[in-house]
Formats: sequence, C-alpha cells, structure tokens
Amino acid sequence: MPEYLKEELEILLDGKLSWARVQEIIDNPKDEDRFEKWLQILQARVSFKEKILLPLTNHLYIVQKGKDRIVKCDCGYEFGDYRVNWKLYSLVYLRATQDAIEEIYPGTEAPEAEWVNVREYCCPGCAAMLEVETLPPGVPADFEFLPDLDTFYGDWLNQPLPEKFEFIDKTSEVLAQWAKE
Amino acid sequence: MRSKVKTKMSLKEQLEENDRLFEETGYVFGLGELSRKEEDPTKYWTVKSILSGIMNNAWNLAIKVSTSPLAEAGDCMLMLLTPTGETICASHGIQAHMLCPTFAVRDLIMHDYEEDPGIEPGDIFECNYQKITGVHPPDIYDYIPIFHKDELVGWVAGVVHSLDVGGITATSLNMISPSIFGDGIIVPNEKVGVKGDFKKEYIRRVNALSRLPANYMADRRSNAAGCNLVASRVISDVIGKFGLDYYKDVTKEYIEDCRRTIQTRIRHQLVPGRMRIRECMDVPLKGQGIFPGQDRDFLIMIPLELDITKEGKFKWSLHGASAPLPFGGNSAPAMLKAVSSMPITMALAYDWFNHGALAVQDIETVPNSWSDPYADQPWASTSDSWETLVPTITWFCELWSRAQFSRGYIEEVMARFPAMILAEVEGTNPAGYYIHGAVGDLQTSGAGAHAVRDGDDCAMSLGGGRVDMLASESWELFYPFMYLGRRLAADHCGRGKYRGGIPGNPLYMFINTPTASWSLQHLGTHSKTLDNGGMYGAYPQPSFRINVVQGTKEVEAYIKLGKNIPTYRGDPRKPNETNMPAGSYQIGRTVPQAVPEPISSYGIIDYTSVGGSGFGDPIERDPELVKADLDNERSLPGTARSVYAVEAKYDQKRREWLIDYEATSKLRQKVKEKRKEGGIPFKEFWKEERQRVLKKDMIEPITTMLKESMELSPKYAQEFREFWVLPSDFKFA
Repeated sequence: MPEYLKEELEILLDGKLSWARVQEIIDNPKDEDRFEKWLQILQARVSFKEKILLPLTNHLYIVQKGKDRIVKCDCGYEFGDYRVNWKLYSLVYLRATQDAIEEIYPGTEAPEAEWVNVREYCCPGCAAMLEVETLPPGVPADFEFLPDLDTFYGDWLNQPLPEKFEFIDKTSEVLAQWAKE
Repeated sequence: MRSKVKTKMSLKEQLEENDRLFEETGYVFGLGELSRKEEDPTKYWTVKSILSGIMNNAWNLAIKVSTSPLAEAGDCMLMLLTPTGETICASHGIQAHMLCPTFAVRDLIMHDYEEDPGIEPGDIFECNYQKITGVHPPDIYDYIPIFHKDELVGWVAGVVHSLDVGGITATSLNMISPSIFGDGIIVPNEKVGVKGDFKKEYIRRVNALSRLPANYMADRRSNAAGCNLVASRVISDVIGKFGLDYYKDVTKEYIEDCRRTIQTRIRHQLVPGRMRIRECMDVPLKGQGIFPGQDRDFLIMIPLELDITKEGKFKWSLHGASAPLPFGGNSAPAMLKAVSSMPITMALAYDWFNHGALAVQDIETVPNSWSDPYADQPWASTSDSWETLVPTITWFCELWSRAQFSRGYIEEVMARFPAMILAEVEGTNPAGYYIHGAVGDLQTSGAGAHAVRDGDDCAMSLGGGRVDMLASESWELFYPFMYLGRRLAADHCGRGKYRGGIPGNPLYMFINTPTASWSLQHLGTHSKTLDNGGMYGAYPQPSFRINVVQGTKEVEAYIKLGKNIPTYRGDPRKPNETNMPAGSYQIGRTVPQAVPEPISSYGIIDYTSVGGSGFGDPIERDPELVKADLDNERSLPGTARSVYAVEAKYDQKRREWLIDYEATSKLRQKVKEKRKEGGIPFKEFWKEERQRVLKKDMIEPITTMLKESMELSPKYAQEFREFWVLPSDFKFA
C-alpha cells in the first residue's frame, strides 16, 4: 500500500503536482492514512482552532465546536448545525434578470431569465462563492451533502465520535421557524 | 420444442436460485468464499486477462465488419455472460451497454424460451425493446448461446449503434417519435437467426422497413462475427485449456469479486450519507412538434438522491421526476440501472467490468414519470432515452466526487460531464449513395474539471472510455457535407478555479447533394436553462445554441468568391456567421432541432459539443491559466474579465496576452465587494421567493413541471411544501 508525504499531498492540493505524478497516484491502490493526513493539512491551513471533522467543500468544513458540530468557512464564518443546509446562512447573489445573466453568459451563450435564475451562494464573511445553483425560480435549493458522520467515524473508521447525533435533515425546522417570524 | 440445454436445473431454476442466494447471503451466487482465487491467484488473474484479450480481439474484428463509421468510432461493444445472463466481462467500446444484455437473457429465461422456441447451437437472439433492456432502438443487441458439447455454458452479446431502424424520421435517435409506433423496427427478444446465420424472413423484414438495410444487416453481422469469435475462443482457449468446471467457477467468482471490490472502495474512498442534486432541463419544441402534445416548450425535472449506505452500497431515488414525455426522451428502470453501472464501474471498479456493479445498487424510479412511463403509457417512446438518461447518470460522478473530496482522495475528483449532443444528417454522399445517420462529433465533449486541474479538452465520451471522433475525412466520405472547421469551442465549459474541458465546435457545409436535411438530437443539453453542473462555486457551461446559414444563391456566390467564410463560431456576441450575406443566417437557435430540417448545398450548421463542468470559485483561478487559455484561443478576453476577473492585454509585438496582476487583484477585490453589496441574506431571498411560489408567479413550463413532480412523487411534494412552508393542500393547478 503506498504512502505519500504530507508535503506531496499539499502540492497536489495546490494543483502544482505534475500530471504524470497525479496519474500515478490515481493508478496506485489508495493510501489508507489519507484521511488522517488530509485533516492535518487542512487544519493547519484554516484560521480557526476547532477540530475539523469533515471537509464539505474546498472552503467549508464540519467542525466540532464544544458539543456541537457546525459548518464553518475557512475564513472563520460559522453557518450553524451541519444538519441544516448551510445555504440558509449564506449570502445569495441572485441573477434573475437577462442583463445580470448576460454579464456571465453573453450573446448566444445566454439562457433565458424567465426560465432559470443563477443563485450564487457566497460566504458572508469572505465573499467566496461557495456554490452556484442554476434552477428555475420556485425550485427549492438542494442540500447537496448531509454526511452520516457517526456511521463514518464509528463503523467505517472505527473511531467513534464522543457523542452521537441523530442523522436527520433539520433544514425544514429552521424554515418553519422563519415562516412564523 | 425441447432445446439442447443440458443442465441439472433449468435456466429458470438456476436464475431463481441465483436471486435467492443473493437475497439471503448478500453474495452474488451465494459465494461466501472465492476458492478458485484463493487456491491459485496467478491462474485466476491469467484467465481474466485471457478473457479480456478475447473480447478486445473480437471487437477489433467486429468493427471491421460493420459498414458504419459509428462502429469504427467505438459505438459498439461485446459482452460475455453466464448462462443466466450475468455479464462476466466486456470489450472496449460503448461501456454504457455492458450490463444491458443481462436483462435480455433474464427476459428470455423468464418467458420460457428454453422450451419455446428453444435454445440451440447456432441460434441468434435479438432485442432492442426498452421495456426489456437497452437504451434506444438503434442499439440492437444480438446474442448467441455458447455450447460446450451439449451444455449451454454462457452467452455472448454484441451491440452496434445502427444508422437507421426505420423510425419515423431519417435519424437514428428519432427524438420526435411520439410512441413506440414511431420508433421503427422493434424486436422484443426474438430468435432472428439459426445455424449461425440470420433468418431469411428476418432479412426481408429489414429490407422492407429500414431506409439503409445494407448498413443495418452489416451491423448485425458485425455483432454475429464478434460473438462467434468470442464463443469459439472461450471454448478453445479457456474451457479447452482450463476445463469447464474451472471456467464455470471462476467466472462467477469474478462477478462476486467485483461486487466486493466496489463495496470495499465505497467504504474506503467515500463518506456515507445523503446526497441530493437536480437539474431542470428545457426541451423547446414549440413550433417543431408534429404529434399531439408535442408543440410546446417542455421543462423536465431530473433529480437524483443518492444514499451511500453503511454497508457501502448505493441506494438512489429519482423522486421528483416529472411526467412522461410525448416524444422519445423517456427512460426505463432496466436501462437506468444497467447504465448507471457504467459510471460506477469507471470510478470504482475500473479493473473489473461486470455484473458486480449491479449488485451494489438499489434504485427507486417513479411510476408514470419519464423514469418509468409504462404503467399508464405502455407505448411510451424511448427512441431518445439518452435525453433523460445522460443527465441522470452523470450526476453520480459529481456526487461521489464530493464524497471523495471530503475523504481526501482529491486526485479522483471530477466535476460532471453533463450531456451529449448528436448531429444527424441526411442526403447523397460523395459516392452517390443515399445515407443518413449520426456524426461522431458527440465524442468531442470536454471532461469535468478535477479538484487539482482543468478538465481535459475534447476528450470525453459519456458512452464509453474509448473516445474517437475519427478524422474529418471519414465523415466527409460518408455524409453529404464537408467540414469548414472543427476547432475547440472557446469558453464552452463550466467556469471555475479549474474549468471544465472544452468541447469541439464543428461547422458542416453541405455540398453536392440534391437534397439534404439535418437535425440536432437532444441528449441532455440546455438552451433556455442551464445544466446546474459544477462543484463548489463554478458556473455551469453556457446555453446551447445553433447557428445556421441557409444555402442561398447569394451564399453560394459568396463562398465561391472565397470571402470570409466562418470556420468557427467566435465571439458569442457577434458570431462569425454574421459576416455572411444579410438574411442568410440565423443566430442562436435553440436545441434541439428534433425534426430534420431541409438544407441546400452551401448551407452551413454550426454547433458546439458539450463542455465539462467546473470546480471552485472562478475568481480563484490562477491568472496564468487564464493567460494560457487566451493565448491558445480557448477563452475570450471578455470572459477573462467578466468571469475570472482577470485584467489582460494583448501584446502585438510578443504575440501573447500579458496579465496585469495589480489590476487583477483590484478587480477581484471589487468582485468580492460586489457580492457582499449585491448579495442578500438567504432568509430574505427565501421570503421573497416563497411569496412568488404562493402566488404561483412563474411561467407555465415551470408550474407544469412542478405540478407533475408533486403529483407523481408524494415524497417530493412533501419536501417542496416543507421547504417553502406551504399549506398541506398546496398544489399547482
């Protein structure tokens, strides 16, 4: 089973590793300590101290904060319980007019604003664009990934987390509350 | 008639026993141990290599028997199956088909073909009926039994995408077909050959019902030749050398080994949990529809929920799928399951190619939606099933790429390659021969971006790993057009920190043909909407549009004078076709062109193939990558500024683009400020959008789609109402 130096994985992450070497890594059997090294690399790069439990995207992480598990941006902005779609706490740059869409898609590239809106979900802290969703108006935002952390750590990694959380999507609870406000 | 099948159990009994064992033990064929592998691993892997060699060798023969350049470009495949139909291994070619023959053999067994019409050495069976299996009618499966002495020891199947199956239009995909009655020659699992050759009456049927019977039969003989070569070499080179018992045992073990490999890799490379994504795809048929219900602009919801289970399996659901389509874009459960095995295999079992991929997934389709239309619409057309199939299965790659990213295996991450597009032409070719069919530029798609680099340009074919667009001259000899250009379509990709691969931009000019027509068949592309592909902040690729120049006398004169003829699309604000004589061109027409449209000599069509999706925030893109794209004409200066926030100037003397880093840094800062100033908290967005939903203030195609999705899937209706916090009786009228 191959093992890679953390330094090489960092070069890979930065997109600077030669394609020939990346292909070798793809071809090789997978290194079993990757997740451990991956977390160490990312933990050293973020601006916060909370322990990363799982990276969600290239900017967002599920971290252990006290007894809670929350989503946090690498800039330090906190999005709340990982079982709530983090988009609910993002800034939405909405392109819902033809002019706004054609800033990105000019001329023959442009879709039609009545049919599709471009929702750019940005971090309120650092303004990084975290996801882009292009759906017709009225279609709910998708919660792309709700990881089953306790199964992952307990059953797959054999390193159970101290407390178990119910594996449930809690997004609708927040929305129901908003509707009452 | 009794067949010569000699086994202790009937095939039906064997099949039922296999299903029971899998259900009870979780192991395919109940194989708790891989004893042949354990006793002699070298022999185990050697035989696997021999089988792979046999398949690929036969494939090389098969493509030479077919007369179709599509076969040469790789749109064919051979598969070796067990007696009960489980795929053991496959050749090069269009891997989407790898597991489809399984369902044909199962159907044959469950319908007692063993008794009637019997299964004999030399028989050829055929199926292209999507209720049973397969993707669409032109992908015709021919399969033959392998007999060792008097015992049926397996099957070999072949598939070739045929140019014409006699559908309602002169296209192979035949998208406008309203029902199975427009799909052409449908063979619902039939014995079409005996004693090693096709039956006379079968050939007469083909001659009567196909526009291109010679090509059609050459494809059948291509399948038969490939299958026969495989069968004879399995008997001589494997069973003859290693013994029948070993062959039977080891082929079953390969399948169970594949299942174990995939489940192990799921647990080692992914993260369990629930993943959700969707796209809403427009199919603008207003003005093109010719049968009832077709003459409108459709919006189709293609959702995917993927559960990666504790056991390391995929459980996927299409709840939210919208209504069946009154044209050929419907899928079906067997094809969804079989074809989804392709990305599973490509990503997680690339060293295997077999039935094991079917054993790791459970699928939930939606009855009476495009994903399973048959209950209410037994005659639904699937002539262009790729239209919904491609978007569905390509979501898989992006979803588990997200899990691989989380797990740290970033070298494996690849954003989506969301669709395909297929040009079909008709006319008289340079040899004076009437022809029609598909052109291989669909193979020039771009691959999805990786987490560590851009996607590969012009190097992706969804249907198979073997990409070959063939030389332009191959198509020019076969079809009534010449290429004016075949360049990379600048910026036609997902735009992100890493961009998707750029596809081809072919321009065909029709020449020397008394009549001609063209169409652009839909395989998941978007014109009025966007495909929603891309990871972590990348924009999806642009809308798909066609530019057409009519072959008028003015155009002919213009071309003969050698004036400024378009060879690529160029700037989307002012495409190169606008140089042509006034009134001759149409810019930005929507896709598809489902019904073949007549075109005269000197007429030109310009379209782009499909780009890969992007990865990451575009303003995090290394300016040096933007410069390289500008220098190589893979990106346009306007995009560099508006999407990537890069300030660059062209240096005439050095003949290259130069980046102004300071100005770029300021521009990127400005974009961030604009996001903060122009962005609204999600809660505010949600409240405004909710009011809009309550008022049903959307255009008709959107409300119709939502109505269909909610009516067909109570689960989706509940999710929709919960998201917008709507009354429990809320619905779209």
